Formats: sequence, C-alpha cells, structure tokens
Amino acid sequence: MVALTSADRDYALGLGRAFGGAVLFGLPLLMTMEMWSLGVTTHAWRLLLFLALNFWVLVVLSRFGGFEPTSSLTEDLLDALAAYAVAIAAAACVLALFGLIRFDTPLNEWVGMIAVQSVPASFGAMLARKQLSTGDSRNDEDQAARAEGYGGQLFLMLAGSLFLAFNVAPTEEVSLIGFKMTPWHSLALVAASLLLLHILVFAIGLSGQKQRPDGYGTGRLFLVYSVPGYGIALLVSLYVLWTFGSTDGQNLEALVGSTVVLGFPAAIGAAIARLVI
Amino acid sequence: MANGDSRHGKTPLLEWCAAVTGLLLIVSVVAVIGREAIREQAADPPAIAIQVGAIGQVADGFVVTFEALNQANGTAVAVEIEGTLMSGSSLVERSGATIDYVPGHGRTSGGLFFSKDPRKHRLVIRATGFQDP
Repeated sequence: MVALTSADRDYALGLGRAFGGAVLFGLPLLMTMEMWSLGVTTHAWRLLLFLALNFWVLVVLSRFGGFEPTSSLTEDLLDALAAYAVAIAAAACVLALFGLIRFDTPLNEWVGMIAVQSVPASFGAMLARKQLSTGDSRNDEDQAARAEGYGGQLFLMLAGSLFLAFNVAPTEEVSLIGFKMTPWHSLALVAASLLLLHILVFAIGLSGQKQRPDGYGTGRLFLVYSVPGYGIALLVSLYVLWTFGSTDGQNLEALVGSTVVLGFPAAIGAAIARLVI
Repeated sequence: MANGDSRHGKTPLLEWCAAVTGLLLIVSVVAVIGREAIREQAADPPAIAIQVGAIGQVADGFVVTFEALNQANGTAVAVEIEGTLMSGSSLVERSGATIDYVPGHGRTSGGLFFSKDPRKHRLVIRATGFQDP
C-alpha cells in the first residue's frame, strides 16, 4: 500500500471539508420539491449554460478562497473540477438516501436532478476551506489580497447574489410575491435592497466589515460599491429567473416585479459574500 | 498592494463603468415600476382568451394544445380550463385542465386530452374559473 505523502493527506482533508460544505450548502435545495423536477423541466440549453457559468464562477472563487490555497490557474481549474465532483457525489448520496433516486429512475431524470443540485453544493464545496478549516493561513494573505481589488469585490457580489438567487428562485413564491405586491411595494423593496446592501457591508460593524479605501466619502462608497452591487443582483436575478423559465410569457411589469423580488435576497447574498469571503 | 485600488483622487475606469451601469439598471427598474405605480390602474379582473394550437395523436387518444392569454392586467391563479367536443348540440366529450397562473397581459400554454378525435367534432375550449393571487 502506498503511503500518503503529507500533501496528499492535506488534500484528502480538504476534500473531506469540501464534502461537508457541499452537504451544508446543498441541503436546503436538496429538500426542495421543485428542484427535483427542475432537471427535466428546464430547457436543456439554458441548463447547460447555467452549469457552464457555474463552473467559471467556481474557478474564480477558487482564486479567492477555495478549499485549498492555490497559486496558478491550472490549480484553480483542478480545484473547480474537484469541487464539482464532490458536489455531485454529495448530491447523489443525499438524493439516494431520501429515495428520490432509485435503480429504476430514468437516466435523464436522475442526471438532471444531480446536475441541478450540484450547483449550490459546489459553492459549498469550494468555500469549505475558508469557513470550515482550522485556520491554516500560509496562503491566506495572497487570496485575501486578490479579493480586495475592485474587480474582486464585484465578482464576490456576483457569486453571492448567484447563490442566494438560485436558492430562492426554483419555487413559485417569487412570482406569487411579485403578483401580490403593488408597484409601491416594489419601489420600497428596491430602496430597502440598496440600503441593506450598503449598510450590511459598511456600516453595521459585522466582522469582515470593509474599510473605506482612502479618500472615499460615503456617497462615493455607495455609488461605487452598492449601486453596481445592486445592479449585479438585479441582473443575476433576471438571469436565474430566465434559466428556470419563470420569465416566459410574462409582460414587462410582471418581469420587473419578479426580478425586484428576487433581487432582495440576491442583494443580501452580495453583501454576505463580501463579508464572509 | 492589491490591484485596482485608486490612488488619492484618481478614479479607475472600472469604477466609473460599474457605477454608471448600476445606476442605469436601477433607474430603468424604478422607471418601469414608477410608471406602473403612477398609472394607478386597479387590477381589472382577468380576461382569459384561449387560442387553440396543434392537435396531435397520443397513446390513448388525442391532445389539443392551447395558449391561455390574459387580456386584462389582473393576474389569474388556478385557472380552470374546460374543453368540450360537441356534435350538433349534444356533448360528446369533456376534458379539463388547471393552469397555475396566467399573469396580467401574459400567456401560459397547456393541453387537453381527448379520447375522440377533436377534428371530427366542434371543439370549444374556454376558461371557467380562476382565483385571485
């Protein structure tokens, strides 16, 4: 039997943490009814595009705090692939445990189910190192430095929005809430989302709160971080709604209404991503 | 020093682009919602019109696809659709379907199954009820 080197052992531990992260992040959606049929009811091309985008997000996330410290693009690619594999394994295990996938389940049904569930789980697998590790910080400064740049912050907001939007979007409630809200409610929600996004990151004093870059007044901070952040949250929400077919057949007002509704958790996700990663 | 941070006073191009793009998006969203708010249309009761689509053959009979169009701006939820095959004035067959929701000025498609050939009879499809969201 080949003895494991220390590097192998570290990687194996990283994989273990990744599995834990995958289950943690994936569990709410793994137990959501609409997700079980999403694999077959979503248009195949939209789903493929979504999976491809998710993979790209994983690669970039790996630069900023993935489940092991990386120092080159190749390593990030490999880590993204590994995170995906762990996520697929975690999703398959849980779905099988729940009896949702059985030996007689048709191929495209269980493939679709696992493919769709692996998206949130892969986020968890990738972020597991940052959150679940015991603080081995040799390369942490490098990763933190990469994340501090403006582009990095924008990307983190994108990843955070994507994750929360995807967690909320598969169910009917987003559209239903949109129908129940009057336009004044929607306007208030836009304001609240913007405000919360700004306050959560800059004002309340949560750990991970960002320092103002030199020379930035509050107005400029708002304009440069929170406004694009909410814009990103809206775009991500619209994209996720489109992917799941919730936008088909809707007129403009209903579309904007649903986007604003989903934009609220997306904006919170953007703020949390900046605090946590 | 991390990339992208501005030195004192000089704003990087990316920040300008991001801020402007974000502002445009938010202003557009607010404009659409604001216009809707100012028009203050009370939600009219939904008016569902049915457009019959293709008729095809399936295992036990036939399927008729249709689109339910909401011509008013009120949303209809749990819309009951009924299709009847008539021969003269006598009822040959009746089928029903439920559409989860048809948004205001929106459309949702569905289908009805029949065991008799709809092309040989007079087919009438209409919405028979709905619920407010």
